Amino acid sequence: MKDLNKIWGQDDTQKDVLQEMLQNKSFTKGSLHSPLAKLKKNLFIHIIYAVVITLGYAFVIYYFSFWQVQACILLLIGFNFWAMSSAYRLYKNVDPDLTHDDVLTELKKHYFAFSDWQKQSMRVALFIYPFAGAGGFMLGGAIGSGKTPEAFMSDYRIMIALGITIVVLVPLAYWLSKWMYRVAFGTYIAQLKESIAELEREG
Amino acid sequence: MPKSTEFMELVQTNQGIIRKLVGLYADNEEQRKDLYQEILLQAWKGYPAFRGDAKFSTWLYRISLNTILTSQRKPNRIDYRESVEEALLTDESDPVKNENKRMLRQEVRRLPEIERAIVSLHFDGYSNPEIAEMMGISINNATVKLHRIKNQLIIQLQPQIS
Repeated sequence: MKDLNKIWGQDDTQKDVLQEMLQNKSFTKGSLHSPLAKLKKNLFIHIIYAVVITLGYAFVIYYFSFWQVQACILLLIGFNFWAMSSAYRLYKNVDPDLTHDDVLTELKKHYFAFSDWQKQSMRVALFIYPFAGAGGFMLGGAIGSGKTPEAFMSDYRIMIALGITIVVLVPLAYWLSKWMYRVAFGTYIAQLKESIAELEREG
Repeated sequence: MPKSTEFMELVQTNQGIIRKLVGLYADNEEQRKDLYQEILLQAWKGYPAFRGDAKFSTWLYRISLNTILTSQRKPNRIDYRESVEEALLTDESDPVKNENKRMLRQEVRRLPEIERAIVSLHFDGYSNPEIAEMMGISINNATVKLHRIKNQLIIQLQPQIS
């Protein structure tokens, strides 16, 4: 059984798609598809969406002069700016180049990039949802009833309905985003975590 | 010699590394193709920064492992059937050697991902300090892991290998 190395060492000579790729140099025209490259692309799209949504908010503030709605939306805009800047920082720091570091460092780099991004997004979302819910509720109510938000909200049943909306909507939105994240990256994160643990486990 | 020609020649010479590693991790033809593409692209984009401190083969090995182990693949469906690549390996002149090789590859494919990488580095002639450096672990850890994996392989293969 000392011959395992010898058995392994027999050379592979068969041709396959790799040979074709090398011959026609097709790979040189592509772009990186590594998970970090995808994360970087997603972050960029995330920033673009945030800009568009912020512009939408600005329009609502300008068009509907209800101070309660404007206050909620101003908070959302503030959070959007914060989210955009943190996404941009992450975007700048994500390096999809796999040519420098050892395997453990690369695995950790990928693992922390994804899990930190998730934690950060979830925390921000938890703050945003109640204001988004309240702002939307008051705006919808004011437009639907044709009253001002003060008049619309003066009924205690509406206040209770607002409370219920927030209590139901916030955890629902939170769990939905968590579920979506798990569907998109859960298996990948688990695989990375397992490999890191395997490497760090002493013999 | 232009950089691109130099790169292509080096990869051509060392393509066995990529093929062998991808063969150990890819579950199907599509995954194999994606990994080839990604490894070649990573190497191509990183080549200008390659200073030759390490051997090209070692550098390519590290990129291949990093790419494979950080790639987002479907849940690890362990397929005990021979891979397409291995099925193509028919050295009719020496069926015993070929069968031994197939069985060894198959057993290595059953190992967890990290163990597969460590034992593959060892079989490809890297020393324990080199393996430790490439994987980012201590030499002692690499040595102990390797010893355990090899023992495990021997136990699995002892009754089968001719």
